[in-house]
Amino acid sequence: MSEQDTPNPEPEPEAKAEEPEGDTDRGPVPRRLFRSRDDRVVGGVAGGLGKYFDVDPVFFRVGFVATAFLGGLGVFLYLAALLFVPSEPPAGEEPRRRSRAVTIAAAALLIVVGGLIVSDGGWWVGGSFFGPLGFVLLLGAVVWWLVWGRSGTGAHPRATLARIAIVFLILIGSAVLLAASVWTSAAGGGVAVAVLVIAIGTLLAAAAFWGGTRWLIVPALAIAAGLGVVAAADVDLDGGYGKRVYAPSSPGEVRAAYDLGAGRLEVDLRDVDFAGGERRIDLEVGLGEAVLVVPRNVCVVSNADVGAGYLRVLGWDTGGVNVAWRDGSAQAAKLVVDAHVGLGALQVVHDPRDAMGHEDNWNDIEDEEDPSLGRSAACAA
Amino acid sequence: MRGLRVRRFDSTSLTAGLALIGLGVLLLLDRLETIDLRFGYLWPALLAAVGAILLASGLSRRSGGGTMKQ
Repeated sequence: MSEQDTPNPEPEPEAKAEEPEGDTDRGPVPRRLFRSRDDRVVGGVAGGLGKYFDVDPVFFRVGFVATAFLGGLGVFLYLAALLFVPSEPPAGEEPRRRSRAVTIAAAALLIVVGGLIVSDGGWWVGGSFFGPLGFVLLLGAVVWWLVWGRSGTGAHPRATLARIAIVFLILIGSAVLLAASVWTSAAGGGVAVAVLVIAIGTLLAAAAFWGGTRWLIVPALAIAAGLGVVAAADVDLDGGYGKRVYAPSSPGEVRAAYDLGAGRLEVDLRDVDFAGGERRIDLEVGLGEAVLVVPRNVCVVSNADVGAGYLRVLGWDTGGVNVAWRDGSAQAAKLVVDAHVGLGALQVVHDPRDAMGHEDNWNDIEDEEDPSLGRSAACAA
Repeated sequence: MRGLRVRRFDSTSLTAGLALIGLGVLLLLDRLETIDLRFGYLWPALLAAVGAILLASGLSRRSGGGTMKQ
């Protein structure tokens, strides 16, 4: 099948992976990344990487430990490697290729699970659990591609390193693309970004007939993911940027709507006398924080939701994606709040010091609010 | 890079293209306010797309990836 124009033709397929001891110049033997059997501290990941790249495994061990302090990144990467890199076969045995059936079954499972969740539409399961799982699987796919997809021909370690460097560049470029996509989409260019995704998809599909352009897949997915975040969180950058603080002192000064594109919006209503009847107030922040301070003696009814981030309403708090608080006790309401934050934090509090992100609040928030969390005590009166 | 020289049909690229077109249409519909995408729908949709691409590359390698056999 393969042409014979390469300087080193491949050996016969029966050639087994030699045991690397004492033979550093292995030539064009199929090289695969395994978790080392004899150089194993935890799971043999660093040992295997060292063997694979002909480098002292200590470098990888130090790397894993050092990055473990970057929010546990090292631990995460190590666990991913444990999960996706196979263990080295015993000496003299043929390296056990991961069965194709397993791969196909895993991929099919992904599709089925994805489809089930789509049809079910449960946001909690979909967001909080399968979000991180999706990230792990995506990372696993990259590792799998590196380990099984490309390195079968005994390429030189440096060539492999160069390839990994290219993959990293693609990933970094994709992260930049993702950020750009989020910003463009949030600023109102979502339609254009969606059309771009469709165009790249069409290009990929068309290119399939003359060999394909696989490198486009990852950046295109990044662009789609960026727009996806904006679309799912309903981020809207209308209303400008920066920090806005409003502290009206009379009902007349209270606006019907406060709108901020990105930044921090603080509305302090403690000095307002709400005796005059029901008031409605709309709060909208695309990207950032919104803090609404309401008086204790007024019955407040809140309808609040956050696309992705943190939500706190009068002592009741939660976090995640598509989180919402709906208060049904509308009868006695003096103040009806409708608030939405796309990405970030939304907080309705009685005291600004209770709000996360307040200068005075360096500690964890104490839940010293009303006994019925999420509702004003004044509503019961 | 043998694969570049032998220009043959790449089902991975086709699958990825179709998956991206699907995602793009969903996103476009959301932006045109025909549908309202939520994270609960989008994450699994992305997962399904990645799974489909993996499936395609797994299947295509069976039909003569050419690196292990001659």
